[in-house]
Amino acid sequence: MDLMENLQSAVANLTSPAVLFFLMGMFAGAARSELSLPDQAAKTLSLYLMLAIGFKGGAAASAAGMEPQFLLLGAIGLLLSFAIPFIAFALLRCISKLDRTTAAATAAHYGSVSIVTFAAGGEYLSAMGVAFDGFMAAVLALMETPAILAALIIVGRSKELTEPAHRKSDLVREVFLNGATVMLVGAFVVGAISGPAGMAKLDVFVNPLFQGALCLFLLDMGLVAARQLRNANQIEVRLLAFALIFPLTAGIAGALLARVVGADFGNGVLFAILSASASYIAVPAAMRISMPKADAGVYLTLSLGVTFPFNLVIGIPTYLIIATGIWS
Amino acid sequence: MVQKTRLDIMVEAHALGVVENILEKAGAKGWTVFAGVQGSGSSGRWQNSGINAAAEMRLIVVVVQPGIAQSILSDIGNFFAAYPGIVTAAEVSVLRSEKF
Repeated sequence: MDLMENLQSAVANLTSPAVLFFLMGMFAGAARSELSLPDQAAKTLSLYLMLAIGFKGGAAASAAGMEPQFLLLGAIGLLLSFAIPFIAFALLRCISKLDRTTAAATAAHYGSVSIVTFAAGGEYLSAMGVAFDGFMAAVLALMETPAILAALIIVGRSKELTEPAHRKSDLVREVFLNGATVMLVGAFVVGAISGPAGMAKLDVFVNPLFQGALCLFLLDMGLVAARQLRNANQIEVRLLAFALIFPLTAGIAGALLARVVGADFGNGVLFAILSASASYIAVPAAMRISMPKADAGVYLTLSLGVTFPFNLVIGIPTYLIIATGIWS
Repeated sequence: MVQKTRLDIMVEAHALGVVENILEKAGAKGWTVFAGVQGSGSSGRWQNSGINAAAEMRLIVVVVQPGIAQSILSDIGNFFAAYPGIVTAAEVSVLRSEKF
């Protein structure tokens, strides 16, 4: 890709319906418009996206068979997701006045991944004609939880897991059996078992409708992100800078690691996108249970209000450009 | 009409199971759970988005005998030492005393 193609791909992302609907949601939220999606509709859309991503991934993995690349990317995904919180925690403690618990909880968000960023990244790569494998949905699932364990180790709570008043089983259930994870992993298994024949039956549901559902969900995400950003004026500028620079660094690290283990280009770009993304579903839920004293206003504003919009609008095409340089 | 104690317990959704266990253990005969829509608290304004389910608010309303209410308040107080939440207690008059 030359400079012109890079610019064209960045412009293509900015003018894609998904990003434009997201920006529209952010604008409406910032302007305090009455536009809103009923929360049950947002929940349903979220489940649909998990189902479609998981099922398509499982069906594609079934058609391609077990690939060594999956094992390698899965392994480095687990490793990276576990390691990032330690690095992010050290950085956050250096650059900000965050207390230990809030810094650890924030770091966990950056070690884990964002399913919607993954979905938007996948759609963008498809639009750019960059192929990737279905097993990346399984890599996504693998990268969701190690960061939570890392954060618990950081605050010295790897054994008791929660405050004494809460049951440990609640955290374990929230981490491994939350609705999003069960739907994603379950749909992947269903797709893998039913294979191409299953895909033929569900094709209309999981493919042509996907873009529209993603746009509607991103519209809602824009509204939510704008609401979350209203807290940004209470947050140190250094933390806001962290939420922009750290994902870029993690994305580059992800692309380099994927290249080292011999991943294909498309899988490498998607791995970089995953590495750069920050969780705002699974990790916040786990942090509410395991670290109730951590300031949700900080970690949600950074992950959902700053990093998510940044990745969606600027990050995704940037990771493609960076990966193009690394693979060339 | 008979005097009883009504407790309104507001907690995050992830804590609902813990609170229900406390009510059950204390001997409450019944309660009702309501979903919060939006509001404001020590962390600023909040609104259900359908995305962060664990942080959604739940209101549990329970009417019990005063002795049971004291037992519930003691356990809820321990829980609130670590987790966010609000509880209010009020004396209420009820029909059909045997239901509580």
